[in-house]
Amino acid sequence: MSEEKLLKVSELTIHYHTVEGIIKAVRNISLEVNVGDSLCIVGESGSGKSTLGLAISLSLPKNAVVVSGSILYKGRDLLKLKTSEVGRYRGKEISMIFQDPATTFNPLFTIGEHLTDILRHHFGMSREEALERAVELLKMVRLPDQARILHAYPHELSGGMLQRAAIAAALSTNPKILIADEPTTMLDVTTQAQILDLINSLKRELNLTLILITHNLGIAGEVCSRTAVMYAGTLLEEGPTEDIILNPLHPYTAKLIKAVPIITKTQGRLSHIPGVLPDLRNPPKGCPFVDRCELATPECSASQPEYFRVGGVRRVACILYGGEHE
Amino acid sequence: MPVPREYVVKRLLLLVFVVIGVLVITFVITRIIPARPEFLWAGPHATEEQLKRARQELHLDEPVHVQLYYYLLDFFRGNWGVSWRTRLPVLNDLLTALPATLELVIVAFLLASLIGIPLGIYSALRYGRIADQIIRVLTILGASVPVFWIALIFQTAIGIWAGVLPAGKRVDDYLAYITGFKPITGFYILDSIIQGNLPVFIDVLRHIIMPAFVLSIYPLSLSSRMSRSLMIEVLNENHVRSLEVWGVPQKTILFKYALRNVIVPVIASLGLSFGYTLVGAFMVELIFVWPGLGYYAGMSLLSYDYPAIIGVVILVALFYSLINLVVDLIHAWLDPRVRF
Ligand SMILES: Nc1ncnc2c1ncn2[C@@H]1O[C@H](COP(=O)(O)OP(=O)(O)OP(=O)(O)O)[C@@H](O)[C@H]1O
Ligand code: SF4
Ligand SMILES: [Mg+2]
Repeated sequence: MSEEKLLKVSELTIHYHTVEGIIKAVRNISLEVNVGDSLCIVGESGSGKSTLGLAISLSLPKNAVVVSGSILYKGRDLLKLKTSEVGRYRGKEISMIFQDPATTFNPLFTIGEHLTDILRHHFGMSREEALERAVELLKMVRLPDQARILHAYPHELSGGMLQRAAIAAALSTNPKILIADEPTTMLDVTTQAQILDLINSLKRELNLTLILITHNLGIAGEVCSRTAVMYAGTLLEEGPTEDIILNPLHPYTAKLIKAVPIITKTQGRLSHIPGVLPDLRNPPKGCPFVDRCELATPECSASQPEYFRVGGVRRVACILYGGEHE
Repeated sequence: MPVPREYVVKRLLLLVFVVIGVLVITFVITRIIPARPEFLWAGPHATEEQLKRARQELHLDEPVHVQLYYYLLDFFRGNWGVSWRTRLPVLNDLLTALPATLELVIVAFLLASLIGIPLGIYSALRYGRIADQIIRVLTILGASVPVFWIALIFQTAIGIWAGVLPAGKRVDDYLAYITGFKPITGFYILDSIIQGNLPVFIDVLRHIIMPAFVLSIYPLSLSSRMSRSLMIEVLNENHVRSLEVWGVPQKTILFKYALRNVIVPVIASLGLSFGYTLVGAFMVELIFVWPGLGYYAGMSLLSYDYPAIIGVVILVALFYSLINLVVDLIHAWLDPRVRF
């Protein structure tokens, strides 16, 4: 592969230090994203999706420790940046929006105040220039009545409007990569569809690279060309979204798809699989899914299954595919 | 959030009812306590005849509700009765004492917020470190040790043993006399500035700093503890994280955004601790011989001076309600989410 990847995550492991012990939130994850890609990261609550997203956007919480691995952005390891360099990437090259639009903005400040502070910091604009640009940005995310919205406080706007404003804020710096962490989970069904449409069309208009985090395979099907399935901090399988939905390889993915009968419905949580998630303080040595897998053999608990390539474009971490070794 | 005028009018009306309620209750209580105020009025060697006249002048033989009626009638004419102890109109006494107390309380609140809030924020930013631990222990102590005890310790240690600061009073009478200092507003700091009287200005500051600091220890600890926990909480909020992800510098996030989330509730609760601080002020005044309302109230209580006592209580109730109103208005002004 001669062409350089835009983003290359290699063997990334992240722990959280808490009073109850060390939570191994992300374990040995590798991913690649090309320019213009749209990658979905799918997984149940607690599987480490947000942690991965925050690591890429250089915004991990203070108690997170990157134990090993690298995140190469245009060949540069983001984890080895000097403090003075972080500002050139965070928000600027890679930006992010979050699950709960109601808490995304500071309740004591107007939307305009947030937007202009970002613009003034990144582009050294004057207040007036920043306000003008903010109006354009709000137009870009299809918000009507921009002047009113700039002067509005967060509690005066609906969830959908706030999520649009958040997208405007995240894109105000012209980032290359947008990470959207469950951007529609807190919204009602119609708004969900509108926000997904908006993200989709902005992606095309601005030639964005999109990483969409969701626990909903239906959304993955609508938005992303490729999908990665996470479970208990590890990546179980990855490949073209269509293949994964129509022909899941990993027993966990198969169960996910069976568990949600109508996966194209944008609602429906992935929580119907029998058994419990492993304790992330002390995850199983072998396959993380072993306790809930009907096909498990003693070999599965021995060591973490390697990735096996399937059909060239897919990989899966399950010994069942041992025949086609990577 | 602009405050609707009807809301303010409603609150002011409510305030009138609160004051009348307080007045009635205090009045009835002072009349129920068995005491013989006519002795105070007529003097220790009064004859039977003089005592009888005193009882008549003071309406003491009438039923309580008739006495209350006379009192209310006078009260609304601006006649709050005559102090049985000082023999001066109560309202005059109160208006003389009020600025002394207000000056003390205002300086205490300034110290509380200007020291307490930065201290708490500093503590939060040093979370778990040694400085944080020290500040936490000190502010827990400060919020739990009784104010009269601190007052006595400070007065003894700094005012008497070390002799660095005056142990009581508002100003050195001799200095005030030779420099021709005249109280105008009754706020001595202000008065000395108006008159350009630097020696008295310095002297007044030296007098007020110790009692005001003692008085500020409770609200200071309170605001520091609150600021600390609010700051820790706010830094974990999603909106701080999103500004960070969008590349807004840490300085702006902390000192523009998060700071307001901390200051608004702290100011509100400082305002609510005003009542407690006023009680503290009364004790501080008695200890530091500070001629304010507390000192006046203490003396009046010791001599069963009913009109004076009622006057103090009403004035305090009035001030307490007013401060609450002002705090609510400030809060509404600072927090766009407040609704009426
Ligand atoms: N700041 C933190 N401190 C300690 N533990 C954390 C922290 N953030 C997340 N965790 C833990 O790390 C694990 C992974 O969390 P993460 O938020 O990445 O999962 P997620 O897949 O995004 O889940 P969800 O769908 O609920 O958002 C969870 O067990 C979570 O409790
Ligand atoms: S590795 Fe074993 S336990 Fe894990 S999914 Fe495959 S068969 Fe099941
Ligand atoms: Mg998450």
